[in-house]
Amino acid sequence: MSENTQKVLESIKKEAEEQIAAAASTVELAHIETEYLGRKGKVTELLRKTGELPKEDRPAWGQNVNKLKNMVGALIESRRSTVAAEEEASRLSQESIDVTLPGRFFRLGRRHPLTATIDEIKRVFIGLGFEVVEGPEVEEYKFNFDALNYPEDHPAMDAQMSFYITDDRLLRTQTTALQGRVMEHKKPPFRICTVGRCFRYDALDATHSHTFHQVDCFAVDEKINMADLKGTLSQFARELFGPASSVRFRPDYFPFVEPGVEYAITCFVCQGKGCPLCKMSGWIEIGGAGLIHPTILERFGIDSEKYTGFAFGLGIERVGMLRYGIDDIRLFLEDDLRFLRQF
Amino acid sequence: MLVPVEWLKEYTEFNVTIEELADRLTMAGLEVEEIEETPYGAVYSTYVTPNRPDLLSVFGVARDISALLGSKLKAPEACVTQGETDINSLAKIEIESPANCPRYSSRVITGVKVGESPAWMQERLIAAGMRPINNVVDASNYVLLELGQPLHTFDCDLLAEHKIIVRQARAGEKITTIDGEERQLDPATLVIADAVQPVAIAGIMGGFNSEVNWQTKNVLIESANFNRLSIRRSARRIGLATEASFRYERGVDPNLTLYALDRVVQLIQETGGGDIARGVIDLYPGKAEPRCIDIRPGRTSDLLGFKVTAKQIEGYLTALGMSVKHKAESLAVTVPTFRPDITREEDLIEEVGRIYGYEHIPETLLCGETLQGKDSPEGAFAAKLYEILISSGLQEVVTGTMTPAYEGGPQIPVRNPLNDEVCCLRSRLVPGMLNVIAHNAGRGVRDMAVFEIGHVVKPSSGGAFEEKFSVAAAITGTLWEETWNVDKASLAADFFLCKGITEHIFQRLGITNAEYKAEQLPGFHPTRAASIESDGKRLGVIGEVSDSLARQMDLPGRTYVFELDFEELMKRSGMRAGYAPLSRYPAVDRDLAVVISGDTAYSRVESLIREAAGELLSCLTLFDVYTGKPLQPGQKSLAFSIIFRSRERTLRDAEVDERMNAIRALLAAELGAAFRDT
Ligand SMILES: [Zn+2]
Repeated sequence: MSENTQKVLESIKKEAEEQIAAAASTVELAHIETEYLGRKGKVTELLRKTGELPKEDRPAWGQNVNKLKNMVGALIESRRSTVAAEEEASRLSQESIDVTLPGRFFRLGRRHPLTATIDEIKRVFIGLGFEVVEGPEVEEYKFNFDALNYPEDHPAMDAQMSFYITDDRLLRTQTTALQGRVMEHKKPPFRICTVGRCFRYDALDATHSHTFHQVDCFAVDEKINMADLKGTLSQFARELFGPASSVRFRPDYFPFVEPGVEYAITCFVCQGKGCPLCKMSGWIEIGGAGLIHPTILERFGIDSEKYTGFAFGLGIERVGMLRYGIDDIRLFLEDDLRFLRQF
Repeated sequence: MLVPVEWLKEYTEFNVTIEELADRLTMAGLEVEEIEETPYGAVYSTYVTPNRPDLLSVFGVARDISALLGSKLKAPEACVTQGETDINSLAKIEIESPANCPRYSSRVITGVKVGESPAWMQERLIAAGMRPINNVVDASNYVLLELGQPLHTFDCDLLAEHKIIVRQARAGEKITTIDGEERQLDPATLVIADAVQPVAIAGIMGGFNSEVNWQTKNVLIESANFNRLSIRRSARRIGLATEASFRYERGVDPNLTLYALDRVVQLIQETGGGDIARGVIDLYPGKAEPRCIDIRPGRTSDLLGFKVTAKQIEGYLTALGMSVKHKAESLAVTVPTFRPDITREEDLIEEVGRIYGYEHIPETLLCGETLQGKDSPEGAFAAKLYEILISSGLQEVVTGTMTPAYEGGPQIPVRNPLNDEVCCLRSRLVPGMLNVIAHNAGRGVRDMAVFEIGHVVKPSSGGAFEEKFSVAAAITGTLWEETWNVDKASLAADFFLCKGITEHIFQRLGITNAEYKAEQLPGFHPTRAASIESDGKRLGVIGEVSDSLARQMDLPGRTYVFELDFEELMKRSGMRAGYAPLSRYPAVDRDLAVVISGDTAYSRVESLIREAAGELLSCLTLFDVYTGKPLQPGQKSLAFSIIFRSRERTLRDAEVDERMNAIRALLAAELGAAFRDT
């Protein structure tokens, strides 16, 4: 092989090495690749010259040019991987975002705290074998009062001032009204849970509302007594207000129960030690309860010697106010979305 | 009632603190709401349940204390030294309305010197919340508080013919009561009259004309018993509630009149001298006898849940003023008439329980037959709806049942509404939803999507009511949270988002044949509202709120609503059985742009495509609705993506082309459709 041709190879090699080393992008490298190794590339041209050489020079020439070709190819690849990594790093760095910017989300729907509380309470009593029944908000006077033992026009009704619709229909003042509706057709044993809206003729203020929600449960079976009542309420209190809750009875009067009690649960803020929420008593009064008055059972043909029952009620707003620390009952019916979107 | 603690000590002893005693009383059924410190010592403010009139007296409270603490009870003394004059020569009494006046007892005291009552009496009255007036009136108020028997004192010389007639008021009669008010009377009201005119509204308030005054010498004292309903209704009609009426409404012991009478004349004489006429006029047409009730110790223990012995029962009931006789299996209890609340065994059991203490009740869970707890069908269905609606981005609200009267549809009025804002029952939920939107817009909230599930009431035939569950929603603005760099207008809700939510509901409930039919509905945009039907039954309505209603309610922008019939949905929502098997073969995707007249309904085009595509159609999606150039005016183009797929094999292009040709042919034939390149 002539020195001259050897020089050509050397110079192409050197030139390629320099160009590749200087290439700053994969695009540039692609150009270089074409320039040397493409169909009309410098190295390809050298190969093409093989035929012009004397026969005996050809193998060595071919070998040398192929060597050069492979070397240039390897250099390009090696340079390419470096440049590509640099390019990617640069692109990624340009894509940088401020991860502390606020996220985007569609607004999720939420339950109203009242109905959410109702569902939770229902869940507890369903678990205890109670069946939920529905009843009308426009109730018959006889179910709302007569069937529940209210003496005619008695001061006991002063706390139950009603909205009247007709002579004998009113907006129910208590879901307890469903006792009569259920006992008209159901035979013991049964455990019933009623839930719904009630209405009393009360002007609206922070603690009174003409519209409120009540859960009222009652059970009739053989041998039901005050201890079953207390145990059931304790179970409920523990589920809703925490495992340390217990229940206290204090005598009270409701025409449809005898004995009648007001029940309180251990204050869940101070665990019974005394705090402003419980007015230092350690107890929070929740609702009325008692053994179903035997007259009511008898009115519906249930043998009151054989069967006894208990009943208790609670105000959902009161439970909701306690659990969420809400101090104004009006918030429940105002539907202020700034309030509702917090639950 | 205000009960001065010092006063209690006159009748029973206790060596517990004032706070402890208050707690014991509260836990035994007489709630001490507050303990006030006054210059006359501590005063309990009690809440007396309406069944316990006996606790509306200091002595009655002392009786419960003695039973609770086991301390002795000492009754106030009533020791009368009668004079010579026969009462019958001084006064005459008649009852014309015995049904409303079971008993009327009276004494007369002559030659009284009216003056101030002694300091101790005034102090107790003040401590109990009463204003001292003079020794005669004060003595009667004192005994009212002490024993719970309302008493009224008349200046006997101001009674025409010295006569008392207990009768119904006559039409047109008036009386000026001691508070100086002239009051119109009506025949439903029981009055105390003299020979000429009413001198008191029975059991409620005395008359000005016969009032004891500083010149009074001779006093007639009324110690009567009136029918509680008569007093309650009169007091309500007249709009007067007094210490007397409060007690009569709850029931005063008819056998208390004479004792109270003797007690009061004794006190009047002690403070004002005078001569007590001999004898009592005591008309008692409605004699009340003590009840006799048996109580079984076994039953008592069974109901209370803890063991009580016959001896304990006897002890408690005796301390409460009852008398007890032992029988073989039970105790026979005689219940005095001051306890009208005790009418059967359970009432006695309650007495035993509350005196023994409810803290002794253990806790057990219901035993007996295991019962399956479950939600009501409506409750269970509502739970499903809640889940669907909330996952659709809707916020639950709870709006009022009582509403103002609103336009569109009959409502049931409340007879005695609190005010005009709450004078009718809601017959639909949408007005409440719009209220929520308007109310919150007023507080700066722009984007809202709310729903409610609740009862609605409508008048139905024959003056009856139809009350049922309903579900409704309203949407304005966007469902997205506030964000940055996003075009809010592109996210705004419209009719089709609202419709999409209803479609989602139907799909989740398995209702496959809901049809939307354009309809003009009151309160809705005239061309953007529809009824929704299934099998010819109306499922509900959907649409944009009309401009005029939106303006009237001050809605923040275009608002879309729907209201669905809860019960119809419930009836139709089946258990979803099975699923569509997934195909293992590839799909063939074709586009088609259909040019048709602008007033052709999309639903028509869709059903024709489905018909022509046949069973190989896997998915039909509308992706563009276009009007404008190069289309002719009055034309529109609907562009569909149509996906064909077989469950059995790979489709050949030729058979898909054949289907596409069939679709084009049917659309052209039925609608005169032309086709654009897509
Ligand atoms: Zn506390």
